[in-house]
Amino acid sequence: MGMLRSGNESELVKTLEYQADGGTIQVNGQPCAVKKYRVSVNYQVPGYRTQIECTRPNGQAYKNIETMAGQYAWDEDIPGAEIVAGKGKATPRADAFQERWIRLWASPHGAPKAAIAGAAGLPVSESFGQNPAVLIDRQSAGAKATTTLSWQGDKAIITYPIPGIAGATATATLDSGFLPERVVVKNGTNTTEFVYGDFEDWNNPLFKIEALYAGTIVERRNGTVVRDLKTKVTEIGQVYVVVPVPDSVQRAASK
Amino acid sequence: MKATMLALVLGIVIGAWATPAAAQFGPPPPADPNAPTPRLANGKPDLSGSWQAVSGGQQGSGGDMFRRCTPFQSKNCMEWTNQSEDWPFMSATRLDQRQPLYKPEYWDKIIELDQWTNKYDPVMTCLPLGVPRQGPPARIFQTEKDITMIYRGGVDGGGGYAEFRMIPTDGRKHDPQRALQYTYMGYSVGNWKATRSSSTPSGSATRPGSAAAASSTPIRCTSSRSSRARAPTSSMR
Repeated sequence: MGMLRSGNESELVKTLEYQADGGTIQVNGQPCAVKKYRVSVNYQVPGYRTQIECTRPNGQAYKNIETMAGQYAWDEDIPGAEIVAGKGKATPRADAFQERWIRLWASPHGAPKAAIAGAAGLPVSESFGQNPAVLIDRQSAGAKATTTLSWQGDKAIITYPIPGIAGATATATLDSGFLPERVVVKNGTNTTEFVYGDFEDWNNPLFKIEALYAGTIVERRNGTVVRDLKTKVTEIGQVYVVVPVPDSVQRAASK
Repeated sequence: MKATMLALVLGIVIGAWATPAAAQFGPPPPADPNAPTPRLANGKPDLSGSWQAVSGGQQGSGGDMFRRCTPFQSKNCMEWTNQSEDWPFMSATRLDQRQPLYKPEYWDKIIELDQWTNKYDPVMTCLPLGVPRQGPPARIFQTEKDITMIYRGGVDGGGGYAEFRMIPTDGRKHDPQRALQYTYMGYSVGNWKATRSSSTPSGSATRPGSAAAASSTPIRCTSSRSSRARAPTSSMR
């Protein structure tokens, strides 16, 4: 996927800017036609912000910014709400944490990062930015790997634990180019399936960088399609993405 | 680039970036922490001398910038292509978690500047780098009334020119009219806020450029062009 960089072939994709070119998401059980869907991810934090604007069947507009960082999840009315006192409103969403966390580590770039960490027996924070081959060598040194590889015909099947959610397990099916075409995450009674296709270098035509991303993304939760997106553009050049946790969100979590 | 920083502690900047080199060629001798601080006739610490960057520098990279051509890289796969494509991934400054927290209303602008480096970065259009990107001075000449800093060219990816800055320290005020003039290297005036006496306690005297010298004898400058102050680091020698 072009995630390995430098002569050392370290995995160096730190951030992702993603914009969808339309699609449909589910909001409170109803379809909502996407007008804006922008994801700003920092895998190193880890955290991300998804800016969503869509139109419900009755014409009503829906707008939200889904955010998570570390062990916190919250909604924002403007990007970076409450970072500057008095600007914006952050609403704690502890109930959405696992859903957003799974979406991160089952994403086209998140899945290999989490799988590599599991193969090395390390948390993602410690495996970040290293050469996967070197990391996997830790197994021969006695590291307990939690990622497995099997084959179904010519397709590789990778299973790995979702970092930070006890018992949540992802199963990734790789296509012939070893890109994740399907990731299924089981977390308790919930099953979330992510189907990815049309992998290309979606970066700006003037700045292709040989790093691929899925052109189509379909997310099903317990069989129901909750997100169906087509990619417009990505930016995988380590741009500025910060996800500071507002004080109010931290205070709410500590109660 | 257009940010105005009203107070730049020159001693900190120098201390964070540079260390004096006793010899221009070959490694400098180890610093003697007990050596007396060189001083001018008026008792001010004398920064004059040749300076060199300590390890790391302001840019740096994560290592070898080149990578293998990927299976998807079907055309024009050359070292130069890889170098230009990989720089955003390899830049130590972009991988550093200690990024400044800018106000949210500027986040998209920062991303735009990152994305369009080829258009906005002065090094891509052969413009001067300005400060602080020019890095540490290679040579400092100091008199009782001014400090002159000489900079090497080609310090950042081959970009940047040999530059100089002249900073009066004769007590004159900052001239707001001159500050309006467009200069990449800034317009600065300096003055001494504190000076230790020449009779320093035993064991605490240091050479210029050392942490103690930089922190105890700051020169406060006002600059019309600078973007970021740097905290003192332990990398100074």
